[in-house]
This record gives sequence, C-alpha cells and structure tokens, in this order.
Amino acid sequence: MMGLLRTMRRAPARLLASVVAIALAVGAIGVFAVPGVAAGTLRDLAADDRLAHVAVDVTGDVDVADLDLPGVDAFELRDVGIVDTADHDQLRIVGVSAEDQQINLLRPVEGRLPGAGEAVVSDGVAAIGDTVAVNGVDLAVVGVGTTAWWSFSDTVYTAPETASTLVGGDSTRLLLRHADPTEDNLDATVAALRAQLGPAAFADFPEVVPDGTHPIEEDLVQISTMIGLLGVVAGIVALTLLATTSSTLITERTREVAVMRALGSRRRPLRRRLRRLALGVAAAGLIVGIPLGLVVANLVARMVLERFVGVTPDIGWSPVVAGASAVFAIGGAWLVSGRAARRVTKLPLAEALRDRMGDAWGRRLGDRLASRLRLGGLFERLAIRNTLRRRARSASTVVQVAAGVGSVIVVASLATSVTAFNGAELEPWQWETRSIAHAPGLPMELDEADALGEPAIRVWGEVGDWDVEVHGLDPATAMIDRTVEAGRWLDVGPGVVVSQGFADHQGLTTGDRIGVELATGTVDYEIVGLHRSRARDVYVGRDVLAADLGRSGFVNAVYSAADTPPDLGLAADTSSVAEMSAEDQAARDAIVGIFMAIGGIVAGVTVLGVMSLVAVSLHERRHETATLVAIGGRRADVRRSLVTELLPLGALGAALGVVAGWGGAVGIIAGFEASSAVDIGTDFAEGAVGPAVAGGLAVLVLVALAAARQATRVPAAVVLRGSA
Amino acid sequence: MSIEHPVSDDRVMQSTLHPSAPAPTIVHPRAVAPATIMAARDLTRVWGRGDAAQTAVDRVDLDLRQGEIVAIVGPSGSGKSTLGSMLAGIDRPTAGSIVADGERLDRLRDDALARWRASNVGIVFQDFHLLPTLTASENVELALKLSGRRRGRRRIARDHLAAVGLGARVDRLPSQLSGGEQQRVGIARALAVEPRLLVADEPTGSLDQATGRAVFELLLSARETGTTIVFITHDLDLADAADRVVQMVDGRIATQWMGGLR
Repeated sequence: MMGLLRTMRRAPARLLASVVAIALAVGAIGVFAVPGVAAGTLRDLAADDRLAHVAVDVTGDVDVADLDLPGVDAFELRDVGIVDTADHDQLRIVGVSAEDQQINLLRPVEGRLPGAGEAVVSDGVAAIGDTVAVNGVDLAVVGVGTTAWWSFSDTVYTAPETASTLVGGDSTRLLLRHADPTEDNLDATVAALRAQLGPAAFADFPEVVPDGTHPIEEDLVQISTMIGLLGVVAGIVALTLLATTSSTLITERTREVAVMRALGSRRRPLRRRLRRLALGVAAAGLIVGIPLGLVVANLVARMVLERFVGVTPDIGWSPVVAGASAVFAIGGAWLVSGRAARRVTKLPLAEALRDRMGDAWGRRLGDRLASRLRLGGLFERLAIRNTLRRRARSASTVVQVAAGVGSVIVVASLATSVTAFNGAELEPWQWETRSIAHAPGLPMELDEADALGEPAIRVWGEVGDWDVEVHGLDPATAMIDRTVEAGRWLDVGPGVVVSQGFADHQGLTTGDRIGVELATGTVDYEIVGLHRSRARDVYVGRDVLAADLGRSGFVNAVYSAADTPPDLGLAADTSSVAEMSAEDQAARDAIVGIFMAIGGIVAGVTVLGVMSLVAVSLHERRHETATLVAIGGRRADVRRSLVTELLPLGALGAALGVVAGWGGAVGIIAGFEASSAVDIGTDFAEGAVGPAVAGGLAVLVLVALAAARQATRVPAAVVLRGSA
Repeated sequence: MSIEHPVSDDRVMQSTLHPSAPAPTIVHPRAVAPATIMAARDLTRVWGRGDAAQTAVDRVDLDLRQGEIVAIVGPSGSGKSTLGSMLAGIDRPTAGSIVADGERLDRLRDDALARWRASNVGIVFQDFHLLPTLTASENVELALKLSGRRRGRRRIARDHLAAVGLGARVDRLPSQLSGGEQQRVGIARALAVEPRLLVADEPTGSLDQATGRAVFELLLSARETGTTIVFITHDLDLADAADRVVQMVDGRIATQWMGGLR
C-alpha cells in the first residue's frame, strides 16, 4: 500500500486524471441501472396500488357478474373519460368507489376519498377546498392524490355515479387482476373475455401487464440500454487513458525493475506489483464512480419517471450494474497494464539497466526509413517521427479525439433523427384535428359522424407481439396521403396497407398475408400496399374493419380539416396536429436531454483523456523538451513542435469520430428500430460536424498550449539533471 | 562589451571563500586582461524549500573573460554543475546576478533568455542530450535554426560534423552512433552557432579515456575562434589544460588557480 502511494506521488496529476476519467465512465455506465432503479419504485407502486393486469374499455351494459374468468381474483368496472374544462385540457375523469376499491387503488396523500359530488385530484389540478367545474358540474375537492396507473395525467377521481354523469355512461373500463398473472394466463383471460362479452363489447385491444410489472418498464429498458451504450464508450475511453498512464508509469520504472531483477526478484511477482498501480487507480475510480453512477442512475430515473409517469422514484441501486462496473474497471485495468508490465520485465537485464525510457528511436528499420524522409522543416520532421515513435500514444490520441467528436455527433444525430421522425410520423396525415370516441366499441353511426368530418375507425391491435394502430379509412380518404411505396392503396375490398418499415421488420411485402389480432379476434388480411408511414400502422377499408369489429356501419373517430376538433357528443380524445407535435417535442426534449447529459460525460472523459495524454506525452519527452530549450528553443518552439504533432492526429481522430459518430447513430437508431419495429431513419446531423471537429481540435490545441507552458516552466537544467 | 558590475581588472584574483576563511591570492598570467564577457555576483542557488532546502551554490562571484578556458572542479555535490547551468543560462539563480552584454540574465524573461542562449551559448552535456528522432546533421541544424540562421544550415552542420570527424555519419540517428560519436555531434551542435561561451558539463564523463581525450581536444579547439570555454570536470588532468581552475567545495569557490600550476 505504501509503495502504491509512493508511486502515486510521482505523477499525482496524471493519476488523478485517470481516477476521474474512470469515475466518470463508471458513473455513465450507471445508466444501465436506470431500469433497475425505476423498476423498484414502479413495481412497488404496481403492488401497492394493485394495478390491473388487464384493462379494457367496454360498453356500459356489460354485466361483470356474468363473467366466468378462471384465475381472476378481482375485477372492477370504472367510468373513465377525458374532458376539457375551462382550466384544463384533457382532464381525465375516473370513477372510484370509496367503499369498494380493489384495483388501481386511489390513495390520497392528503384528504380523503371522494363521495358523490366530490373529487380527489392529482397534484397540481386543484387544492383541497377548491371547486373543479366539469361539464357544468361543480365538484368539491376533498383530497389530493392519484393511482400509479393514471399518474402521468391530470386526473379527477370522483364517485362512480358522478363520473358516470360526467362522462356519459358509455365509457367504462374493465379492470382485472389475476391470481397468477403470467403472460399466458393473461392471454387466456383476454380470450375468455372476448368469447364471453361478444365481438361488439370492446374495440381496442386490451392492455395486458404481466408479472407485477408497470406498463412503462419496457420502454425504460430500451431507453436506458441505448444511453448506456454511450456510457460504455466513456468506459473504453477511460481505459485507454488508464492504459496510457499506467504504461508510462510502468515504463518509467524500467531501471528500477531491472535493479530488482538483478538482485534476484522473479518476473511474475514484479509484474503483479507493477500492475497494482493500475488496479489502485481503477479502485479509486470505482470508489468515486459507483456513488456517481448511483446519482446518475437515480437522476435519470427520476427525470424519466417524473416526465413520463408523473411519480418521483425512491432512491435505488442495482448491485448487478455496480458489480459489472467493478469488473469492467478492475478487469480492464488488469488487462491494459499487462502489456507494459510484461515488456518491462522481459527486457534483457543489461539493456534495461541502461535504459531510460526503453523506446530508443532508430532500432527498427521503419524508424530508420522514416528518418530518411525529409518532409517539411525540422519541426515537422520531429512531429512525424515522434508520432511514429510513440505509436500507441498517437493511436490513443486519435481514439480519444474520435470518441469525443463521435459522441457529439451521435447525440446530435439522435436529436435530429428523433425530430425528423416526429415530423415524419405526422407528415402523411392531412387532417388538422381529430376526435376519437372514448367509449368502447364503435359507438357512432356512420351517417351521423359523416356530418362532422370524415368518419373513421381507430383501434389498437396486435401483429405478432407488436401493438399496432389499426386505421379504418374511407378508401377515397382525403385525410392521409394515399401515395404508396409499393403495391396500391385501399379499395372496397378486404386488403390492407401496412407501414413499410414495420412490414420490412416483419419480413412482409405486398401479396403476403398478415394476421391482425383485433379486440374481436385475429383477422387474416392480404397486404396490398406499403405506405411510407414511420409508425406501426395498418390501414384497412373502413367498412371492412367495422365488419371485422362486429359493428358494420359504425365508427369511433372523425377526422377534420377544420382547426376545431369535431364534437362527437360523446366523451372523446380530441387532438390537433399542433398539440401532437408539441407533445412529441416535449418527449424528444426529455430523451435528447438525457442523451446530452451522458454525451457530455463522454466528452468530459475524452477531454480529460486528451489532457492526460498530452501531459504523458510531454512527460515522456521532457528531456528532449529541456534539450530544445537548453540550445535556445523558446516556448513558442515547444508549442509549435507539440501542435504540429497533435493537430494531424486530432484531424485524423476528428475524421474517424465523424464516421464513428455516424455509425454509432445508425447503430443506435437501428437498435431502436429493431426493438420497436418502426422505421425511425437516421438523420445525420451535418450541422454538428463543424462545431464538433472544431471543438475537438480546439481542445487539443488549448491543451497543447497549456502543456507547453507547463513544460517550459521548470528550468531546463533541473529537468536534464534528473535524467543523469 | 560592457557590464554593470565594477569588475576588478587587475592581475589579482580573490577567492570567494568565506570571510572567515584565509584568502589565497593568485597571480593572473596575462599582463593585460581580455574583456570580461560575463560577471556573476553573489550567485546563489537553493534547491527545495523550508527544511528540505539545500544550497547548491552559495554567494559565488565569478568573471569570465573572452577566449578564456575555465575549468570548474570539485567533489560531487559541490555545486559545480549548478554553477555551470546558471552560467549557461539554463538555470536561474535564487539570488545574486549574472551580467552579460550589459544585461542582467537573471532578470530576462524566459523567451529573451532562450534567444540569448541560442545566439551566445553552446552547451555540451555529459549525457549528450541529442534529440533521438533527428539525425546527427538535423541535431546540428536545429541549433542553427534556433540561433536565427536562415540559410545554409545543412551545409554548416555537415561542415561542423566533418570537423569533428563525423563527415561520413551525418545521416545517422543518435541510437546508431557510439557514445564518443554522440558527444562529437554534441560538440558540433554547440560550436556550429559560433558561441561566445561554451559550457561543457563533464563532457568526457560518459566516455572511455582515449575517446574522452579526443573529444576534449575538439572542445578546446573552439578557443581558436575566441570562444570562452567553461568546462566542468572531475578530472584534474583535464583541468590542467584550462587557463584558470575554479575549485568548488560545498557550493562555494574554495580556491582558484592557473591551469598547469597544480
């Protein structure tokens, strides 16, 4: 231990940089713990609030007493609707029985459960004692709180009879809890529901949440994995830095090791001792990094859950991620220090005892050939040969700059890609506003709806394991661009048009059959066309879909070219393109914000890495720098020699970084696409290339200038004296 | 050439051994002393701080005259290399002054001092200190470039290398040269800039006796161009070749004598 501390005193700044870099990298890797950290809270919430395992909107005349659903130990019908009030858009109304809640429990944090004409509101909607006016009915607020199921929205909970009045009685949600909520059991329950309620009872596919999870968990895993990849990049950069530092410190001890060998020390214990330095740095990095990772994971989890779920998670940690980080850092340090330790202990003793740095230039044929090249002036030749002389160091510089520039490009490209995707998602639609009846089934007659705009059907279904949005449209619709990428648009026949990206992901094309599981069962369609829509969309003729949903001549949605959403006379989700764009933008900002934070950590690690590399590089050549100064070289000459050497390396690193950044963005987007079966597309952030490259090179030059200043501060005589 | 300090120009040289010590007097052999090119007064260099402070050079007065050969001798740790470094301008005194060309070198900014060094000083190191990635010729060319020479650097470098017997090895890298050859390159590098002051710190310390002697002869040849030579050595036989021998003990000049008088 004392030996380790003594070694650390030899180069405290370089070692500190390595420790900080490892710590930051381990901290960034902590993002992988986000799902674990969040899952703790989410699953606790799911258990405490007894969240539903199956939720489905059904028509109001369903009699749950008649249902025979094996394994289901609780079910409840709730009146649920969404209304606009003077103070709130899209206020969710939920009926809750104060005496008989069994599922999606409402637990007020203040006040009490509501009775008739009373309300419990989610945080921020109103305060106890206030009155909330909904559809002309004043509700007295008697409590504040929510249930995890609806925690992401502004919600008013009131007594069932009051809710029924407010939402029109047609909008009923059936909630079920199963004694053994495995995926198979829940699928069987859905099938039983479908069989017993009949085809018209519900239009949307039921929401199924197995094994005590929370509905958002899957999305969290996806986002965290993608962000975590940036953390791994930071880890690799940090290990490169540690490799450089430990290699230099080990090489500096060449003669010391040689003396010990001359006195009888064996190689293996010597190697172990030399490697302890790198392990010590990694351990120190872990001591700081694991708490940092804990903070990062909890911050990201908090950001995501507060933004998307509306709950603040408890502090949590993931032993698996912490353990993996430790293995990554310690194992990595052991590996990266091995080469230098082997080299130093393998040198012939006589040579090692004479050796100063163990890297004399000119021993190899390549060195001698390079010395024959008289390219440029003396400083340029010095730069070229120093680059070749310290190949590993040069390669590390290139890697560090590439990682920094690449991470900026990745983050920027993800931002532009997500923005482009958000725009492209809505782009084919030509309506301005739409209303989708909240009531289950298809509640509106086609003829009635026709007076309000273009009648349509919008329901959820499943293809394989994927949720898909199933649109029933008039084949001659004016509400979407009917141009197809392949095949043809809908006609009165039974064929469907599918999003091209989704079809590609499923390996489907025109002429193939696609099984779409609707609320009423699986329907087998022929794919007649592929549409450029980026989402998981299936377009079906409106009449065909209505018939398949068991309600010919009925619809549940109206699209309109007007700025004001059509009033269906029913509880409905109304939205405009502008609102949807704003929602998309907010979600994009949250995700990009997280990416930027982790990208910032990667960039920080690379800046540290570059600083440390330049410092190491200067330290290795301190005698040469001192010699240059001794024979009359000024600080400007030292600067010039350093900048001449580093700039081409930086330029190469920046170029590789741009390519790697592009590749990284493509890879991450491809990962998203593969895991979500949507066609996101990579939109390369060309605008970020200039600033990223300029920034990378500027950092390099600034670091070089600072290093040159530092290197010329110590009198040449002092440095040269140390070499004797 | 002028200096600020009042420098005695008589034939008597005073030892700087401390006031308590007896002050031997030595007679300078020259009837008319040549111009003083450098004057050091109360030159002090302390290494470290506080309890760890060690005085390497302690209030030394020393004048160097044009064309003079001065040997600095003394046991290890006596401060002779530190004194040599300060005279060469590659180290700064903690206290005291060094005046050359009317300028206080100890007060010059780093870049100005570097410029002065590049034009006026040639330095030969015991460990050669050649830049390992430059060939013998390029090492000499670099010194010429730093001294401000714009043209003919390659030719001059080759001429100087030829003069030290390395005409056939100008394109060799330091690692391809023997110790003696490397030191010759060091001497060529130092002499190529036609310095007024040549400081050599143990120039033969890393060489065998025969090679060392040959290298030393090369060094002394610089006197022919009026260069003042200061060399630091353990070897009293080499010191005998100097006009003046300065013996240091514990950071102070204990005594001085004329070369060949020992």
